[in-house]
Parts: sequence; C-alpha cells; structure tokens
Amino acid sequence: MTLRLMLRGWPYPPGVEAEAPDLLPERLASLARGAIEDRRVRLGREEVRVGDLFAIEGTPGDDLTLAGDLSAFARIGAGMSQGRLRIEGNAGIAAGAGMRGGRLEIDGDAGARAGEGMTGGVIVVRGSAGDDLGAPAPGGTRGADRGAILVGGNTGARAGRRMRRGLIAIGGDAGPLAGTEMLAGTLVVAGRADEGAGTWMRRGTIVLGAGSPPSLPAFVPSGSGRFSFWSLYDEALRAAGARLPERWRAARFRRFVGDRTGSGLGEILLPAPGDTMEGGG
Amino acid sequence: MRIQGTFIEDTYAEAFSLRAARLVVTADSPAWAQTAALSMTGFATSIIASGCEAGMEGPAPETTPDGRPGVRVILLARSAAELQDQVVRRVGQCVMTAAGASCFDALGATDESIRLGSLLRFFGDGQQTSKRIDPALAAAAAGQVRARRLWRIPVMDGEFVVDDRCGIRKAVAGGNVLILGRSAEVTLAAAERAVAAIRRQPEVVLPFPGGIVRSGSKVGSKYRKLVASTNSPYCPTLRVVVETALPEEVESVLEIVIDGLSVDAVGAAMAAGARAACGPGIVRIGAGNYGGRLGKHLFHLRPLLEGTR
Repeated sequence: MTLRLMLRGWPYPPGVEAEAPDLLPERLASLARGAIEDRRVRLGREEVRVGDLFAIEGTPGDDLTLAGDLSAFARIGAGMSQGRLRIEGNAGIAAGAGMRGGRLEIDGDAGARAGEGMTGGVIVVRGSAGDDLGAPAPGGTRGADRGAILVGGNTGARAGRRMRRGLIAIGGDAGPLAGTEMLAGTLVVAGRADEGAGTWMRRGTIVLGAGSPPSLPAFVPSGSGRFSFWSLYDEALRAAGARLPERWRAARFRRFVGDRTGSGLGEILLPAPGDTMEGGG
Repeated sequence: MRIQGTFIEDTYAEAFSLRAARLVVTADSPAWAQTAALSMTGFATSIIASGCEAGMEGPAPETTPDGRPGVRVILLARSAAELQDQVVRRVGQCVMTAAGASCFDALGATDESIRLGSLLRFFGDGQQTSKRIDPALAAAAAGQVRARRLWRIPVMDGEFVVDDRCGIRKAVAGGNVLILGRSAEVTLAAAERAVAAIRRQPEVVLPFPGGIVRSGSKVGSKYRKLVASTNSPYCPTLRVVVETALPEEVESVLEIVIDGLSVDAVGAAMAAGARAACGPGIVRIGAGNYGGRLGKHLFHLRPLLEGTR
C-alpha cells in the first residue's frame, strides 16, 4: 500500500522553511485520508494543513511518497524508524536526521546535514548531498552511529564528521575534510576527496577511489594489499544499489594510518598503482 | 533387491542429532583454502573421542563472501558450547595460521549462533578492528537478517578476517553405508567410488580419513571403561570365533559414515554412495544400526535406493 502526497506548488518567498514531522510512514499508516489532510506543516511561525499543501492519493501503509521539490522542507524523514519514505524531488536541510530505521530515498539532491545523528536505517540520495552528511546533530558529539547513507553524486564539506559506526558511501566526489574527527565506521568515496580527508580521525576506515595519498604528514604508509573485509562491503554496497567501478572488486589498496596527532588508529585506503579505479558515481 | 548384481540388505542406518556449524574458508588460491580447511577438519572423525566431527563439503561454493576461492566445512558436536569450543580452537589454530586465509559463516540465517571472531579477536592484542555491515545492507547482499560483524586481526602477512559469530543448527550424524566385498582391493575401490559420488552432494561431509572407515564399532565392550569397541560381527578375521554377520565369500568390509545438515541431505548422500559402490566383487550393501536404540533418524536402504533411482 502506497500513499502519495504531491506538492501543489510553493507560493512562499525564498527563505521560508517548512517542517513536517508527521510526514512519516509510521505516523500516517493508521490515519484516514481526512486526518492526514488535517495534519500540520510548520511554515516559519505559522502552520498550514497538509491538505492545503499536498494533493493526496493512494492508501496509507508502510510506503509513503512525497512528490515535488521539497528543498524548503527541513528534517524530512527525521526520526523515522520503519517503512519506506520516497522523495520524488529534492529534500531540504537535515533529511533523515536522527533516523533509527526504515529506508529514506531521495531521488534528487539532499541539503546539508542529511542523516545527522542517525542511529539506524538506510538513506539513499540519488543526486548530491550538502555539507556535514552524517555529522552530529547540533550540540551532539557523535555523527552517524549505525545505519547507512548512500549518495550517488557529490557531497559538500565534512562528510562523515565524527561518525561512530555505520557506512557512508559517496558515488562521486567529496568536499574538504571528509571523515574529519571520525570515531569509527566506514566512509567510502568512489571519486576524489578534497584536502583534509581524515583529519583528526581516531579510528575507522576511509576508502578513496581516486586521488593522491593523504597530504597530511600525520598519515603514514602502512603497506598495501587486497583487503578481505572490503570485498564484503563491496558486495553489500552493490546489492544495495551503489554504483561502484567494476575494478574496485578485487583492487589492491595502499593503506595509510593516522591521524598520528591523535590515537592514529584510523586508516585511509587508496587504490594501489596499477589498480587505479575509474570514476565513481 | 539387487543393483548391478550387488545384494541390498533390507536394513537401515541409525543416525543421531548433533549441532552443526558450516563455515567457508577462503584464501588467495584454491590450494591454500583447501590446506586450511583440511587442517581444521583434521582429527575430527568420531564424536566418541575427537571432540567433534568435521569434514570438507564436496562441491566448492560458486561465490564466497570475499570473492576468493573457498572451501566449505561442516563441524558437528553434541552441544552449542562444545561446538563453540571446537570451532574456536580449530579456526584459531588452523585457519588463522594458514597463509592468506579468512573464515566466514556459511549457514545463513539461523535461530542459534556461537561466538567465533568475538573470541579470536583478542589475538590482535588490542590492534584488532571490527567492521559491521548494517542489516539493511547485509540483507540485500546475502539474505542475512542480522548485522554482519567482522573482525580484522592483524597477522604477519596482512590481516585475518573472521565473522564475529557463526550460525548453528541441528544436524544429522552417523548416516552410513557398509560395503561388503570379496577382497580388500575390490572393496576399497568400491568405497572410493562411493566417496566420489557422495562428495558431489551438497550439505554433507565424510569425517573419516578419505571418507572411509575400516574400524567400524559396536556399542560397548567387554572392558567396562570402553563405550565402543570393534564391530566384531563384521570382522573377517573373527568369523569363526564370534557370531558373524558376514557371508562366506566376504573378505573385507568398509564403512562410509555421513554427517549432514538435514535428514534429506544425508539420505540422498547414502543413496548416491550405495549405488556407486555396487558392482562386480561387491557382495552386499548394508548399514549399521543399534536396533533403533541410539538415534532418532532411521535411513532404510531399500526405500532410499528405490526413491533415487
């Protein structure tokens, strides 16, 4: 059973931000059509009815689709724990924040802070994502702690900042400071990462598909080889729909450990010469 | 009933339940995967004195978790605790030590599991790291329902990768076929044919050397401390001193013991083995049982062979 809400339009001036915490499969599944229409969407200091913003069709259940450009909507899918929420368009800031389970799919781009503080579930962004992907929520000390975020395109700065567990996979390029302050977990960038990847990381793994070795002196070479654990991630990522280069499967990686200014137990894996990966995405 | 001139006795094999784990051992080459698997399944012939029964499963897996060549092994013991003890010892001493080898759970979703990497990780002396694949991704990849947690233990050729836990399930041990032949040479050749046929079957292992047992046992002994002793009625040299089960022309008996993950798998393997063993020089195909007192699984030879013609 799929419930589909189609945005009628967006007559509000730029800068007006909406928040619709009730637009989750788990909150709408047991409601009648009228009750869904009467749910509220916050618009700045005002509230409007869901029925005034969205045309509704289908039957409530575990599957909810929101269609339209939802760039002005903050925290879509925040706190979600089950079911599937699909956004046919872009999502605004902090999509999937604090998510605990279920699956959030964004066909377009996601704003900054997508998946911040998540503790479970899967977020799929088919376009690109903004800054601080999977980073801590404001005031928090831990980024993503379990769960997975798959991004087809590029990401902004600080993807995976302070992530504790789980997996973030970026099909394109990552902005500066990817994986900065990582506590653990796995960050995969199929393309290139800008300067500062892994800065101050304590543990965890960053896999970079292309680019030069870490420029930070705090990362030191630590051998190379085929890493058995990577094959399982590779298979899981492909099965989940991530598009990874075929040569990635059995690639040899050069391993760098750091950041040696801290505990230095993190690692950055780069394809070894002769096993250079082709672009991601 | 006769197959290629060999008489099929109207009897049954008696098998019993054990707990089983199924692992896949991978390495950089099939030979090294085989070496590690052979080592970890050594001295695991009979639950009576080996601590567990184990063997390599015949058909090599088409795919393995890390994409390298691999060999599946099945290990069986009386309880989950005994199985964990044996699996951890054997993986730790025989797979972690083998060049380039890794070890993964190959049983899939089960209700029960035992610790594996979560105990072996301490060998890493604090430098071990774990990797956890989210259930949502693991499910998409391998039909798993629980998160897959791996341990990466640093070793001198790189790292040993092992699953944190492995699934276990009830299994069947002690399926068997007795091959009664006119000479030792003919009987051994027939047993080798049976082993080759059984090793093409999935979900079963042959825990004895080369898949063949020459020292079949009976329950009990004249010595009170022994729970099992030589199967005197089937020993050709005792023909005139004990009540024998051997026809006049039989000079050699070999047994194939089969453990498997299910009743169906063991039954299919018994049928395949018995059928392959039949031929010139093989007088009879029989099976070992204890009058139905030992095990809950009874495999009647004739219905098995009729059902798999």
